[in-house]
Amino acid sequence: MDPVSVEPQSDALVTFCKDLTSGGAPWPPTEEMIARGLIARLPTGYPLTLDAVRQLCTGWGIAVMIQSMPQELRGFACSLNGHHWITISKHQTHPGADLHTLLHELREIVEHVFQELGLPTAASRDELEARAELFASMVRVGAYFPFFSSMLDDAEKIQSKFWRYGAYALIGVIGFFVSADAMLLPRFEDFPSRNLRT
Amino acid sequence: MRQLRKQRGLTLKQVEQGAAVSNAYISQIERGLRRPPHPEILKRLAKMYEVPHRELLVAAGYLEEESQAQVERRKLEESFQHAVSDPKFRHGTRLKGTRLSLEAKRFIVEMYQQMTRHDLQGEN
Repeated sequence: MDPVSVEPQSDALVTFCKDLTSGGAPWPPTEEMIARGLIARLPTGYPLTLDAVRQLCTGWGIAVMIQSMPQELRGFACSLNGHHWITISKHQTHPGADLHTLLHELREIVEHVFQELGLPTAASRDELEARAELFASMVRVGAYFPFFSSMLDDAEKIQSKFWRYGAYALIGVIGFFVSADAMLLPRFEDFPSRNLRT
Repeated sequence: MRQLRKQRGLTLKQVEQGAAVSNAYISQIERGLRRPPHPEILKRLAKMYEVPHRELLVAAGYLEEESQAQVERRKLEESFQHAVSDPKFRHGTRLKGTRLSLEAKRFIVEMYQQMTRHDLQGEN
């Protein structure tokens, strides 16, 4: 394992968490709310890439390493005294699984900060794992919303009714596949084994 | 047993008081005049002599000596438990499969050690 130099967490990570805790919304927030907050901080551009999320992590003082890991580990996140590390296995079994895993681990780091603030969102490790999986899927789907929105705007301008409805249908199909890929990935990548986390 | 006691600079009387075992009995054990004491007594003596309970159990014949692989495995499990029970060390994994292998535990221990080292360097 390569030794990694890592800066302490930046204010941006704590601010991100504090923003979610303020505003009077009920606690804990939904994963959709946390995902929306993260998407707003990601660089624009489609599709959402591993590098984009990695850059965000680096800016937040989270070291991200992609390396060989023991076979059953897809990713690992840890925090100690304001230092955060994420390790992603370079041997993922499904396209997009590296991004999904990075988002999952990022959500765990966010939870570590919530815990430090005295506002955990999950009562147990299992609950956190389930929330992190949902969060990763929601970010992957949500990152496409502005793209679909602009595509729908463009489709609306099409004069021909036939081609306009054709464009809507195409956008719908793309949207379906993007969502299905993001939401069902944990099942695809685990087939035939079950996905349990500790 | 006598060697252990002498190394700690303890008298039979002191061991009697600390471990609640009669000094005559300890003396007999040390001279090999008695059968190995009960594991519970060994536990108290291990505490007095500052040695692992397991070590005395092996010496008394209650447990077999571990192979090198078993020793390493046990030490790794201990290190893993130490890491995951450190309240300052927060961690999470995304797993395929149902349980952590020894390799995965070793990985987590190494991460913990790296982070702890890094943290100590930061403090100095």
